[in-house]
Amino acid sequence: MEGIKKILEALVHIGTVSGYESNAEKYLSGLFGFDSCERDSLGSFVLTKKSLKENAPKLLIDAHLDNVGFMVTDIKEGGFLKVVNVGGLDTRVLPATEVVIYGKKEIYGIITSTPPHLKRERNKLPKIEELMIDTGYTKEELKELVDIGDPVAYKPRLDTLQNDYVAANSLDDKACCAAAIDAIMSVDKKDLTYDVYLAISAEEEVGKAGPARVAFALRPDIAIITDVNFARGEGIEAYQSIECQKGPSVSISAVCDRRLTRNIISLAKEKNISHQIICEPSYTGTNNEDISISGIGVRTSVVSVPLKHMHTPSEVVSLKDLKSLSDLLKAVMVAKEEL
Amino acid sequence: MRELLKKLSLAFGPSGCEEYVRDIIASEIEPYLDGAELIKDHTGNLIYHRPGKGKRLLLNAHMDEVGFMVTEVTDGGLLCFGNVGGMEPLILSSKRVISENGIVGVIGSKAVHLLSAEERDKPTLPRDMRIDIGADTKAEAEALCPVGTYFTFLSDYVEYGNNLIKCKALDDRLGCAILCQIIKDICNEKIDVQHDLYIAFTCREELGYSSAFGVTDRIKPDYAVVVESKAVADVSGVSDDKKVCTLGDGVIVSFADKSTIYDRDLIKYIMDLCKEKDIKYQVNKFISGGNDSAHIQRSGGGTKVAVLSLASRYIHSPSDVIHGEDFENAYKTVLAIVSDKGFEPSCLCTISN
Amino acid sequence: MFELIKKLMLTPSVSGREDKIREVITKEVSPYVDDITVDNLGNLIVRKRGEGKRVMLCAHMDEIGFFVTFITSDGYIKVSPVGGINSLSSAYTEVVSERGVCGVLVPESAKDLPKVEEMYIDIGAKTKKQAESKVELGDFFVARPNVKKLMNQRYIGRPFDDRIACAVLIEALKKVKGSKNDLYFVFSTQEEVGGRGAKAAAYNIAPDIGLAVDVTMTGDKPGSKPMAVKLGGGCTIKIKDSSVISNPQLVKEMKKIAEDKKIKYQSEMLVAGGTDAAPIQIAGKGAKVSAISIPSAYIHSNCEMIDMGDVKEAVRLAVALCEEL
Repeated sequence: MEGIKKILEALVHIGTVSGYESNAEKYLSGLFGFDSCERDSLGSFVLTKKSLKENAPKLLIDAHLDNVGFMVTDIKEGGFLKVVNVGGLDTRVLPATEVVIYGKKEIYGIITSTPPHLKRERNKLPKIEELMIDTGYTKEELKELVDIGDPVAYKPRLDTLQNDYVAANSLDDKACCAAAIDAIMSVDKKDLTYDVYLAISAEEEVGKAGPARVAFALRPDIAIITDVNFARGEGIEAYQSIECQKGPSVSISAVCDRRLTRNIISLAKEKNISHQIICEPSYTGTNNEDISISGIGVRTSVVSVPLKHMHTPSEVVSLKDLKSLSDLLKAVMVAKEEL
Repeated sequence: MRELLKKLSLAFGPSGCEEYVRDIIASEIEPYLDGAELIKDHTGNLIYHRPGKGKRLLLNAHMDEVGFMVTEVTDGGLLCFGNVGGMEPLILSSKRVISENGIVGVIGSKAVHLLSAEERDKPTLPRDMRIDIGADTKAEAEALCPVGTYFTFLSDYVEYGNNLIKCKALDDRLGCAILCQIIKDICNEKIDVQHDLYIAFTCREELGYSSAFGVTDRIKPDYAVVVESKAVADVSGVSDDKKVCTLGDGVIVSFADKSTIYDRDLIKYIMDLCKEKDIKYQVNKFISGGNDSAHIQRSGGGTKVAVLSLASRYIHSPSDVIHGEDFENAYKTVLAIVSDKGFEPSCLCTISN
Repeated sequence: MFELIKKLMLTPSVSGREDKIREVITKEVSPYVDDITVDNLGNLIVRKRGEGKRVMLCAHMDEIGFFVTFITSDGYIKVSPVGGINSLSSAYTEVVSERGVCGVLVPESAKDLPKVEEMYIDIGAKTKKQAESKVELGDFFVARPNVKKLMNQRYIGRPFDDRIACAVLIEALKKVKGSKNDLYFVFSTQEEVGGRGAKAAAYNIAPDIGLAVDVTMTGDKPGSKPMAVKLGGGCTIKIKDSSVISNPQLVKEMKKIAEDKKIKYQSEMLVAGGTDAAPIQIAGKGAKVSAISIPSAYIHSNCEMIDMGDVKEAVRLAVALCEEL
């Protein structure tokens, strides 16, 4: 678990707002244990680890790298930045939250919060266009450092909670990136049943443009899409959520390949890897839908880890669940028979 | 003084639980007492007294900060909480918090995706929020954070932009840091004290039931000066008449706020001192907020009181922000007051026929 | 007495800025008393020594008004309210500053009932600089003080709240003779922002009996809240208001004294509002309190109305209580 935590901590400290995933290039290309790390035209990274067997089938594991954030739209008097959201933000969490602006250098900022004496209505959520980012610079200085369009993300910070939970920004979906990287790094090439392609994909949060291109170029035989799903909790119904500490969920869905899904579930049972089932009849809300129809079509399955407080600066995930996800992916890569 | 500000601001000290902050202050100033008396009174105040010939002056800063207290543990191991001190409910969602015994938690709420369109436009109120410490069961959560456990914001000390300082609890650890520095200066003979000087570090200001009340009654000062922070709104787009004050424009000498109309002679005296010493100061341009001054003014037979405030953005959040220069100016102003021969009120009189 | 009332009313002094009115009152009372002190909160405490009970009569010197908080780039003045300002009455009225600068208080919108913060004062300045030469941040403005006689010995003007009570106290202390009680006449500060002055004064004096003297509302005007007090029906003895319940024993004694002296009084149950009686009651070790009130219509407007008959009864009651309690 420490290995996953280390990778995760490194990833959450890289600012990767949708469209600006290139910041991660240095880290990903320096990872040990892969044959290559390439970037496609839409910004997705493809990390490869090939089997020693000739003509091995292709396995694509997808986890998206990008996270929700903001983009600078205007530079105001007194060192304040106006921003718009990139991806679906939870506006409830914004006031007085710390951010990093990825300008010419990384700049620290705080999202403004309106003091009560200026409020016409109490307890009314501010719209994002009413808020600004306080940088502490003058307008002139800021113009030298920041351009319109520069990305802004929550200030990275990872804290450890009880029971191997961690709290951090952008665990959606870096948690899965970390589990997948960990799984592939720990497998010996000679054991691989598949040529493994890990797509650390771009722009999931803004319309899922990236991964389908990767799949199209690769034409994989099977693809496993890893993402986060809602953790069960107060006020969250069982049908729309999965339980923490019970391992990754495998989605049973009409948009996934039935045989692949079934095989993955039996593999998990056989290897005693903790897992759970979630039923998502016609839609999984992940990269799955786009990957499954790319090129000549791909057999896909969706595996998710439960995430609490999704799309906030303090998402919470269990490292145990990530370890189970890693174990499950490993089991797939070295499966005796093609799944 | 910045190092001490950082140390004090990061210390754990919600209202009613000031002991950690008090211990830091005590250990900071004990080597510098130089014959002065240090009183730890029965309500948790720390009072420094340096007897002297002049007027009896009370300088005051409060040690407490806003925080949370666990009110109930849910079956799922989440913590229901109540505020300790006034807080803007809108800033709580998804902030990280830490308990007295170092347990880290997240103030969680339902994922935005799962909210109805109507719910999305509404803020989540504190009663619907929970602190999530990662406990899987009620028993586990209760063992770590039983009902009554204090939490505060988990926050870093950051210096950013042009000399801005950000941390939790700058309100009012900045006042504590300045007053500690004054005590050290006195010992190092940087100041020639012209007063019978009392410096009080008080408790529970954030609750409005401040222990400054009792301190004032005990001391009965001739006049008192409170060192505090003041919520301002000097962000771009706010019209100038509603900004209250501006960061970097100097220490604030308020003429009135929502809870106190300050003694006019005393504030004029302080302004004149600032002018004389070339210290940058500003006057508030909107009437809002309140602080310990109200309790000091109305304790016992009444006290003449003034407040020196630092303009602070996003007060009572993990990101209180002040200006480093204002911090220096506030310190210089306190220094000037302590070393001046003293304030002579114009109207205090007794005629006997 | 009218000359005294006029002098008191025409000396503007809002809460926390009572120095001018204090000077006027000090001059007026100093020939008649033993000691005069001004305490830390600016209360004027006037004492007529005696061996008996310590009785504190308290009328507040301050009035409602506005603090200057901001001067705009065009030379308009933004203000914040001091005390319970009636914005309906304040819009489009003439105001005057402590330095004697005249202006008009104008709402930003002519349609909606504005908050004070949404109004500005126009002093005729064309630039910020001009305005700054006449007005400083922290200065106060008040609605122009005035007083006029109507029919039936009724008067309108402002601020009857609470200069009329100051006048009552001054008249009473001039008239009191041969009281055995230790009498404290307190002209208190900051009543309009919550009885802040009276509490300190009461703490220092520690009276046995505290009597606030203030105006009270009436129930006999169109749209007024249901209340038994009538303008012209005599002064009142306070039973209760929203801040205090008078000591019943004291009320009984007061009524008896009034009846013995044939003073015209009404029993007062004020439905909204409070007086200095509350802070006096709870200061220090506590005191028995009640209040003598002068009925006034249209309180906190620019044309508060009183009946001079009620004022005279209030003076008689105050004197009687000083001597007989």
